Amino acid sequence: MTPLEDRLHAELTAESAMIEPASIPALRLPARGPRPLGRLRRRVRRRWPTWMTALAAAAAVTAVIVGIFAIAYAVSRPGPKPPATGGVSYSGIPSYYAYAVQGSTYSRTIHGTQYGDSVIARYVKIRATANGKVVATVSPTAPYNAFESFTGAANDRAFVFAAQRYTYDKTGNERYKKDQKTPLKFMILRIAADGRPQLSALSLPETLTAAQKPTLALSPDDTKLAVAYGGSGKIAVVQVITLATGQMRQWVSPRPAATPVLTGLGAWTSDGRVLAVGQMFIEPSGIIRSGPAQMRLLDTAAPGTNLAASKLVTLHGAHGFSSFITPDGTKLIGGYGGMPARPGGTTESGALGVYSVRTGVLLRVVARWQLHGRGVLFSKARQMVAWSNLSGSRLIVEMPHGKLGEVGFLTGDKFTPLPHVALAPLLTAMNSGGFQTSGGYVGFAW
Amino acid sequence: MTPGWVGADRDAEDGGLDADKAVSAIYQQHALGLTRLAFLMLGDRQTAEDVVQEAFCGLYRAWGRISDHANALGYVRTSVLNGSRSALRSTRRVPRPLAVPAAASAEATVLAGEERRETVAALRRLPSRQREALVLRYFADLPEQETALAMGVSLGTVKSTTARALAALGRMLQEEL
Repeated sequence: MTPLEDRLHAELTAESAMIEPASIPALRLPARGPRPLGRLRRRVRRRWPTWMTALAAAAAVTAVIVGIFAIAYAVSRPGPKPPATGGVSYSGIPSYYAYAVQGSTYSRTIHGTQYGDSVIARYVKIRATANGKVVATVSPTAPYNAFESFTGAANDRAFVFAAQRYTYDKTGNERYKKDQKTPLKFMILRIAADGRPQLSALSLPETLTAAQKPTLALSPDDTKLAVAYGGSGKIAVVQVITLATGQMRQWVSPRPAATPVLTGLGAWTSDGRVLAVGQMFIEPSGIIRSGPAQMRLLDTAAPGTNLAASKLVTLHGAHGFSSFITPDGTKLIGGYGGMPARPGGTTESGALGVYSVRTGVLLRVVARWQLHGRGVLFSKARQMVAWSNLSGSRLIVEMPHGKLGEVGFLTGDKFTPLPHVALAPLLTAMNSGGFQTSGGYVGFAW
Repeated sequence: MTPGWVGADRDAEDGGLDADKAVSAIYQQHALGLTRLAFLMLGDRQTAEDVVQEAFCGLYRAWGRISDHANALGYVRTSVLNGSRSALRSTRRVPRPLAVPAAASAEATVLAGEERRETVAALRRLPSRQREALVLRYFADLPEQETALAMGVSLGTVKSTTARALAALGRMLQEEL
């Protein structure tokens, strides 16, 4: 080799090392279709006996008459009113999901070795749930270099992102830190009916900073954005902003209260009226107080500005502050019971509890799980609801699974993994403690 | 899972259930190298990851049609190169220079990083084919014959393209001095 070839070889190898082995995402293969393996069967036409034709004709006439009566009865006697969904379908599966991807923000070379400072949400990818295809990759614009939070609308048409900034100070003890003062920058990604994404800046009536640790929830029809912050020694604030006009309604607690937490899709009912707000109690020492989970149900169409006047539901046996309200507004679903990790322990377990919104009573416990052995990722195993159909009979959940987790459908107690959800980057983000600072999970949104 | 919401993939089915395992095994072994290869071609980590994912999905779909599975790596490597070319064409952009902030740290300015940046920046100014030849020969360490297969050109073309690319690179680095 010539000196130039030697140099090229060495420098290409060094440059390529910017892609670290641990950063390679999991492979997402296209799914095999529902058709079973084997030959296609030819459809054979059946011939009915002659006497059955006359019988079938008579039966058809009878059915039409009975049908007419049934319709007339149904029209004159209205049954229970179905919940309004604002044109959003909750019967299929969500078309897109977004997840955070870890990456380096600052890099430096010391004695020939390149080091990078990694953030958990360097950028966000949006993929089609059905086939894993990338729809968009959203990166924050300079000087912003990471995302603090993001949320999706149930109509499959919009995601909102809050970008933040990490600064690098080579002289300080903490070289790499979150900028707590610069206002967060908001962006909205709209996905057209033909699947084309369009990203635009979103300006909110008030500036928010990373220090406020806001959590977000986009309404099912993507017309309103809910923002919650404060609490834990301060006044708690919940805002609902109409995106088209910038008009804002605000509810505040009359005195210092629990930190209000919104869990994205799980915060709104399908009619865009009731907002489920988790209550997180942070002690002055910084420790999150344990105890039964509590949820505020804020009727955003009712008059008033007092957050404390909204209905408070206590979910006995549940823990955490991110219970998910079903779109029909009848149930709250959250982490239930279980055995948390203990120092030196070898077992961790949990389940999901389904509670009645009206009475707060536990209706059923589903999706129990247990991990044994020292190989499991104790204290980081996580079970959470990411999406629900209208009634909560079909969920998309993350289930603890070995060292990572698995995302899939939960129907009753039957769990079916989703084949195209990008597990590795998703769970890398979700398993990292850094993402809990905002109160919700920034790992992904549907 | 609701039947019908995932697209049926006939080729993969015809190739048998082994396609899952085989393609996953190749991915486990070569995803890092191929992502790095695409990164050197594109200068963009996100696009490089996407190109590699698409290439492996293509391999999976075509598994039943590939007669010699031993050459699957060659197939996917060619797909990565094709995907990189398409990505560059579709974005109509020159690959980005090394992703280092403009104001580098004091250490960075005095050490080897600067020199490397020059070489990589020069590489990325080369025409796509010349860059491919150099990346395959000097990063992937492929012999000329395999480079020709990956690029879909003759052995002679690889030799001449590599020679021209090295000469151009040498000139560019000389001008930098």
